[in-house]
Amino acid sequence: MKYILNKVVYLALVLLLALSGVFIMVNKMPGDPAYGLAVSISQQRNMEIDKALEIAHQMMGINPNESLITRYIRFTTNLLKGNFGYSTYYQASVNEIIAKALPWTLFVISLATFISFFVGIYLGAFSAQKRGKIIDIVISAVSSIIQAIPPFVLAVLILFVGAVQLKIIPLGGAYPIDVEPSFSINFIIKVLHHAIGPLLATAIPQIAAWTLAMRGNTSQVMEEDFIRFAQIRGLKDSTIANKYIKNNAMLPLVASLAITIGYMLGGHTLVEAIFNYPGIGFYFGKAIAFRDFGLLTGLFSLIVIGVIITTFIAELLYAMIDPRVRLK
Amino acid sequence: MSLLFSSLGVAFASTAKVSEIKLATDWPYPFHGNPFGAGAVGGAWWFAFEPFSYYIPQTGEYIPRLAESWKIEKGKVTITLRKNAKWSDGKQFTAQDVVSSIAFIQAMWQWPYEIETVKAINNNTVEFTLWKDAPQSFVHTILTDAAMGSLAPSHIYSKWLKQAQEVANLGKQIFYTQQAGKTVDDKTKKDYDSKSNALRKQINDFQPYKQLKKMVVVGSFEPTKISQSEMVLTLNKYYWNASKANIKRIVFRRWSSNEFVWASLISGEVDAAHPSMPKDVVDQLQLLNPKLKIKTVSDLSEIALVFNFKKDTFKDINLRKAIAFLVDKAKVRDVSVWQAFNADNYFTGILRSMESSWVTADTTKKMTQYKTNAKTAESILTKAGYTKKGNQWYYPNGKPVQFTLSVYGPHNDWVLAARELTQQLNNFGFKVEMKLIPEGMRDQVMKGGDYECAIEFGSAWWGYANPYTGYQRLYQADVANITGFPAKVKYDTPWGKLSPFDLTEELRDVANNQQKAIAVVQKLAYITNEYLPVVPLFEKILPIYYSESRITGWPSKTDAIWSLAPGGIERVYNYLITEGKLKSK
Repeated sequence: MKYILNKVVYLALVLLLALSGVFIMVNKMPGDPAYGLAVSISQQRNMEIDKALEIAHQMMGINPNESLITRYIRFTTNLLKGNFGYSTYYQASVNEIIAKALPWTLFVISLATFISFFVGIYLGAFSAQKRGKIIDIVISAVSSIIQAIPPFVLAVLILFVGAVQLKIIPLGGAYPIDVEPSFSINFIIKVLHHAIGPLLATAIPQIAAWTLAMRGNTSQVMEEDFIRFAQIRGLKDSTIANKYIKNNAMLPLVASLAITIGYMLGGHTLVEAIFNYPGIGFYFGKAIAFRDFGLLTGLFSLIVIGVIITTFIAELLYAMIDPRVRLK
Repeated sequence: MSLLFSSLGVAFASTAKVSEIKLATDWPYPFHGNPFGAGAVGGAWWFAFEPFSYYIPQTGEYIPRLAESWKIEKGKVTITLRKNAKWSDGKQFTAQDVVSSIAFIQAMWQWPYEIETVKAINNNTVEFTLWKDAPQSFVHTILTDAAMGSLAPSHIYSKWLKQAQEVANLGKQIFYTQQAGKTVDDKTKKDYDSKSNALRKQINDFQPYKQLKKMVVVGSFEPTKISQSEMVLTLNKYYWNASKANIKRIVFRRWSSNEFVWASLISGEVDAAHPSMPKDVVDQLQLLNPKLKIKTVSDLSEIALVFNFKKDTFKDINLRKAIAFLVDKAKVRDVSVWQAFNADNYFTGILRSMESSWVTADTTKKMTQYKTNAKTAESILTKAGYTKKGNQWYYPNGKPVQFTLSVYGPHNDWVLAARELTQQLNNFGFKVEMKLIPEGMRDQVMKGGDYECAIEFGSAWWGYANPYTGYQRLYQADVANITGFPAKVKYDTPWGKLSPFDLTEELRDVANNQQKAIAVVQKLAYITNEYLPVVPLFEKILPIYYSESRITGWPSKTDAIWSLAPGGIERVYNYLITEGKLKSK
């Protein structure tokens, strides 16, 4: 109990620090969200940019003279109420935007994480057990190559091969426009079909990463004394592999799993843009391009909260699996 | 696996086919259908709203759309509206709708105050009275800007009309006072602010698509189904030319990335789009989809090397002339945008594609011709007291010639041009460093003057395809604002001492009269070429990719209608659809 209480206090402090960091970082970013609009006003009406900026601020409801402290207080108060702020570009609540987009992103990344984790763990352990053999060399080499390919490059490849040349996956979107969203089997199949592209682009590099990590951990565990002892005891290879090696090699990867989800939340932007997928990555890209500080702060906060909480859950799980962590 | 997905693909194929065209664009999401709201209405704009006419830059012709005819007198424009024009809910489109739209755009956008009053003479006739100082070119804005007549249907916006008119009148009062150089009293300002904010709040909150369950339009198509990835527009059955349209539905795919649009074009999922593409992608594209055609039209702008005259470096005309001679423009164009039009060897401020109509041979005979020649550049510098030691040029004061060349990072093609240019300048013996402007910071850096020279738009004829627009940019507006070129100074010309600022004013008043305009253009072209406010690199083009896989009836490549594309390519599609030219196969 004391362990959990300590962790909760620690979590609250980390959240406060991280979110303050997000706020300062975004608010210190150069640029003005009204500038784009101001430039078009200035061009259209042949007006001085300063005057146009004044009009743009008024149209977007931005008060450029508001102090950083006032904004920070509003930001933290809003967050405590579960309010992620207001998007000046979309003139809409960030919660509303998140509510529409996050389910799509979560759907793809959680599926991708789940598949890649288990496939990667299996392949990594398998490869380590076949150390030095041709299959191990192939798995390691392919994984290293794939891991080096940025996800958006892979996304372009998948799009052109899968959607353009082979025509086996849809070009984009989450579902066809002529289909009404519902809980029907038909709709679910279409959603799954449309998710294949972004899913593959997200999962494939992750499979490679998990494979290499698991291979390294497994190789290390295989060198441990307790494995030798188990072998001397005459335990079956399959028992040693499943009960002793896999569990111990997997343990450090559990914490990474949570961090991966957070990383993928933010790093999914380009993949979603390439597949025209309606997740938060799309809004992230727009928020940066249009210097929509409200939306950017809201989305960043969401990701930071996501990463910190999933890491916290991972640590708790880790403590449950490995009692030594609790004792420490 | 492949078989399974293929069969799924077959199962997902749409069953009920209506004749449709697929295009790519962007739109706000959640879609609100409010033209005054955030993100406006995206690519639906030119289909939902309609200007009084379309203007074809290549021929100078106006094609009547919502207007049947018009009469232009001094300070007055009288427009006769189509009698058969209706809103998509079946209500008649009348002069009162134009009055309503003008009140709302003036109130919400603080523009166009050049319209002093607008009056409905009868149901089909509307009269605009222009502000005394309105430029002649503003008539063109009235005739061609879709915002002028059909943004705020009076039967929908009537409950706010009085408020809007009050705000618009206060706004005009403030504008005219300021333009007269007088101070606006605080009471008027406060009154304006409070009334304007109150109206803005109500109008911004109005979401026709959600609240009325539809967006009422006078244009050819209305948005009927919108997701985050696709937008469907359906033919407005009351549209004045609806009977001619063979295409009944437009499906917009969201333009989420260029890669997505390339893939959509290759696979025939989009029938027309205009993404920038590297040469190898275009070659690949035509190989994979031979039915895809390309038409390039001038984007009515040129990309140029612009100088910051607020810094000492480029105040010297000799240095600018040397740069003009040593830049290999064709090479810059090739590495930057291979499809673009070459810049001419004369830097007249007139777009290359339009030069023959505006600059006479007599004038070009008087001008310096900037054919790439490093030797000429060297001789200009040497004569001006510059020296070269080793591989480095020095100013007459002994300091090395060194400067930065700024370029906006996210514009890949500009970065390529800047890289090539930097290399050419360094090879010549200048010390040039390329400086990237971060995303979102372009206007702040350029307008703030935090650069020495940069890649930017030079002359551009957007909005009003006329030399006046380009010279106004160079000597009075955007480019002048960022470069600080001394446009009010009088320069030596074969016609005596002349200031480009004054000449631009003169051109403004005769812009619609080609004969008179040509005479002024000669002088401006000469000054622009000899005093180099900018060095043009190439003329930007708009590559239009259109597929004949599913759609027939695309115009020939020489058809002037293509020149309507820059600044609103949907106008071309709209024209072709509503004139019955495009058909589904």
